[in-house]
Amino acid sequence: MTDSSLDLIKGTLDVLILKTLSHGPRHGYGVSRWIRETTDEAFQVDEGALYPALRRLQKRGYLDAEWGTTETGREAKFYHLTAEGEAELERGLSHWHRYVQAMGRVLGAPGAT
Amino acid sequence: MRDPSAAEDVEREIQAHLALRTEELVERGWDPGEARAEALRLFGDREAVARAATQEARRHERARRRSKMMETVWQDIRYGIRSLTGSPGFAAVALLTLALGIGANTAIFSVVDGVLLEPLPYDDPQELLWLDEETVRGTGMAVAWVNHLDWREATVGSELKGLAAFGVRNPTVVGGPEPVQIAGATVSQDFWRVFPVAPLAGRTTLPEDHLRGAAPVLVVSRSLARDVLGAVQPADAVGQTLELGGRAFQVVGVVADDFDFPSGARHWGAAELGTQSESRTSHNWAVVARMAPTATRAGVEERLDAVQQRLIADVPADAMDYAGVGVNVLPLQEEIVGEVRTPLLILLGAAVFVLLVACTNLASTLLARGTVRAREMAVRSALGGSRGRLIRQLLTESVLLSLVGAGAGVGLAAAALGILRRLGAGAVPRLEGVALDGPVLAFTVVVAVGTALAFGLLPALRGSEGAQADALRTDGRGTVGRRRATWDVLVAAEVALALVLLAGSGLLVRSFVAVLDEDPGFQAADVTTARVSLSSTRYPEDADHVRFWDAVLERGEALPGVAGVGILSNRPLSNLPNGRLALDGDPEKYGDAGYIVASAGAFEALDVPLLQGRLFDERDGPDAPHVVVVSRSFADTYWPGEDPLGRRVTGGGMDRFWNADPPVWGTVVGVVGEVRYRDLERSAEPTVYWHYRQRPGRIQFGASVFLEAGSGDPSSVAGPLRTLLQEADPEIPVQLQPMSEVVRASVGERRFMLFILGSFAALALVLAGVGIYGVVSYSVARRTREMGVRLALGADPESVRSLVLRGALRPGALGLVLGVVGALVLTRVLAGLETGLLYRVAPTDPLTYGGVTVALLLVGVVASWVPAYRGTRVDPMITMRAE
Repeated sequence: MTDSSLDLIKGTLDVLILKTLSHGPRHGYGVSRWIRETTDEAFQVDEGALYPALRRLQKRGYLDAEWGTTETGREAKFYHLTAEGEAELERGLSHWHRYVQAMGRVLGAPGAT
Repeated sequence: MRDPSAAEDVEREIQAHLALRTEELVERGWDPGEARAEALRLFGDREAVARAATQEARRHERARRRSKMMETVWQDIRYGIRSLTGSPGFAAVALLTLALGIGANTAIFSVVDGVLLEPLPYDDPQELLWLDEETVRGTGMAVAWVNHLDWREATVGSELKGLAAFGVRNPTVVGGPEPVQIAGATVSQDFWRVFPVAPLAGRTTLPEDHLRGAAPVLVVSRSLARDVLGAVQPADAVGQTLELGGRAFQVVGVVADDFDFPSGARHWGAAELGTQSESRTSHNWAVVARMAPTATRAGVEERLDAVQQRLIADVPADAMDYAGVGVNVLPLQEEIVGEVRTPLLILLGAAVFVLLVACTNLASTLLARGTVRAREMAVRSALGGSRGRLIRQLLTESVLLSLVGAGAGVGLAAAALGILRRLGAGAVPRLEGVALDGPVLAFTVVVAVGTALAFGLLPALRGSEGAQADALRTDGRGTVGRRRATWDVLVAAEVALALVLLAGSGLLVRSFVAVLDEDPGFQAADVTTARVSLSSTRYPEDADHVRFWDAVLERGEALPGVAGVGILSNRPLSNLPNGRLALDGDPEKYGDAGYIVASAGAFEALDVPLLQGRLFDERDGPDAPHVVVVSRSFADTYWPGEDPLGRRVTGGGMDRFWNADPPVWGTVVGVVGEVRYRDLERSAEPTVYWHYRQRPGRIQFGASVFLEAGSGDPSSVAGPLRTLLQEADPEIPVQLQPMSEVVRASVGERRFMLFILGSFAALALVLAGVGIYGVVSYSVARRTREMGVRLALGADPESVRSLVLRGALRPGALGLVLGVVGALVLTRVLAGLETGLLYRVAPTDPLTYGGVTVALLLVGVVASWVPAYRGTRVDPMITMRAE
């Protein structure tokens, strides 16, 4: 892990996974890699959190999974969003936007440094 | 729940992850070996990840399975409903069968629950005891007043919280709109300590109310307060005055109608106010007690036994026959319901038999359906339905059927309960508390599910098995052999069960007929009777009673349409007071006999034959020498082979003429036929009749008057009898009863048992018939082609039919044999001494067994001949082309 990596704020991993999968089915490693690369390695997804999270989301009905093969011919478990997962992503995103706006307003307020 | 597949899945995924990471690193130019190590390092604690992920995965798996199961159960149910509504004929017959079987069990169990299982409706009912004195013969008898006083002194305060004597009374109650007879009790002072009832108004009695000479007070029931005293609120009755048996009582308290002890009592007064016998052998009282929480029944019994031994030390040796030599202590509930326990359990057993017949019936029908549905099962199996899944589907259908049937059964049970209550009133205690309540319905649900498994499991196993094989290609003949054998077993079982029930109820029918066939010793058909108790204040002396009856009988004889009129101190088929008599003027010579006070007209009205000598007549006035009429058996017992006329007797319990010194003797002037005073099942006992004008002591407590109609129709004299009594004394409550009704009521418990067991047997017979019909119909349907071939080849239709019949009757005959064996074993329960359900018929009665075997055989033959006949009627060419 690089020094510039950020700790994921609690509760954000789920919405990151859902967002990642909204672009199409991906395996667990793919999810991890996509987040890492998209954030320029700012977010390092801990595997110890990723795999339990994937199963938790699956239990809640947001994801479905099946085994398949990668482009390089390796076997991997691919996850994709369900309709419920898409709805949950919408909820997560709106929640997150409000959260960021509120944070920004507080942190951007004058005399607050 | 351990799930290896979840762990494996996670492990596979981690491997994939590591491989992909390594691949990426190599892409970026890492050395493959180092890339692998780096991937492992980056991954971190593999174990922890695997554990956490597996846990989540398992949770997920469980939730998924649960919801999938609910979904399939729901699917099974919907499918089941479709499949049942798809064959409404089958569903209707099956539901009716189940409703009858489960309904019978629900009804009987509700009676067993309400009568036997539910505790008495009093506080701490387990503390309540019933106390009896024990005779030298080991039987129980009522308690002497003075003995109860000594028992109380020895135990209350230590083993017992309270001990009370009580007697049931049925006095004329005056104070309401009209005089009425209302049952009540006279109770000793601990009674309300034994039953600590909170009155609705006023109070129960206090110790000072029970002192000799105290002002008479009365506790009454809510219904008496309302009906007689017109009390809208219970408190309105308190302070009012009621006259009971000619004596004025002030009402001090009102208790709720739920308090029903002794059964039917609606008023309670103090026993101590009357004069009680000092004799230790004068057994007139019933005794109840409440134990201290620490005491045991055995401890109480031991203690009282010891007390009783001391008490009877001074009883003269020749009176020991009448002394209590010990004390029996029973739980009160046992005393109340003990007698009906075995009969009720027998009925419950019989209900279970009916249900078993229903189960075998349904099992065989489902098996037949299973064959029809073999194709459907095979398709489902071929499409990936596992065997377990098919079994579950079939069992779901059975449970569904059973639960719906149980719902209808509860309805039937509710209706049956109404009949049972009416039928059992007076014969079975506590029936009014019987209801289809929570415990009963829980029982019904358990029975329904158990029933579903009982009849559904076998067909489900067979049905799903058939699906494996070649059912898709042919019509499933491969499994027919085994199915045939299963059917044979089911038919045999059904026949055997039905035969046991039929034999049991057949024996009861024979007993019932035998009891009714007994000669009661009188002609009931044309007689109306009434019980009359005269007020002791307005009729204080013997002579007052004599005057009253003289007038009534004289006017009664003059009534048009009356063939005979007379009185007896005790009505036949009720009770017979008995006691010691001295014989032949020799005070040392004793006999023991029933003791009845009578008028001559009673023998004429009841057609009791005069066998020798004469009846009482006008010569036998109060001042004339006393005369007696004796029963044939009395004469034969005490003067065998001698002429009884002119012999002398005296006595019969507490008779002042016997206690006089010297005793007043009565001379035998006539001999009459035997009369059964207790019930039809007990043969008449030697009986002495005294004339009411000479020894009226007994009729002070009441007399029964009998009026014989000249027309033969007892109702024709009911009106005249009522007028006669009311004109003699307007304060007499008159309750008339035809004598035939008395005879009927005396066999009430028998009728109750017979009705239920008989219904069950009839049900079993019908179900067995339906079952056999179903099986044979199916087998005929399956063999149509074979039968067609036989007929086409010139076989005689009759021989083809007999082929079918033989096939059906072989297992039926086996069932008959098994049933006879089973019945021989089980009917011993009926013959058990303590139940006395069989009367003058052996549990092996050949006529009964022959009769029911023939009946079942007939039903079996008809049930199999009808489908066989139908099968052979069809044109062979058509049946052959059918396939």
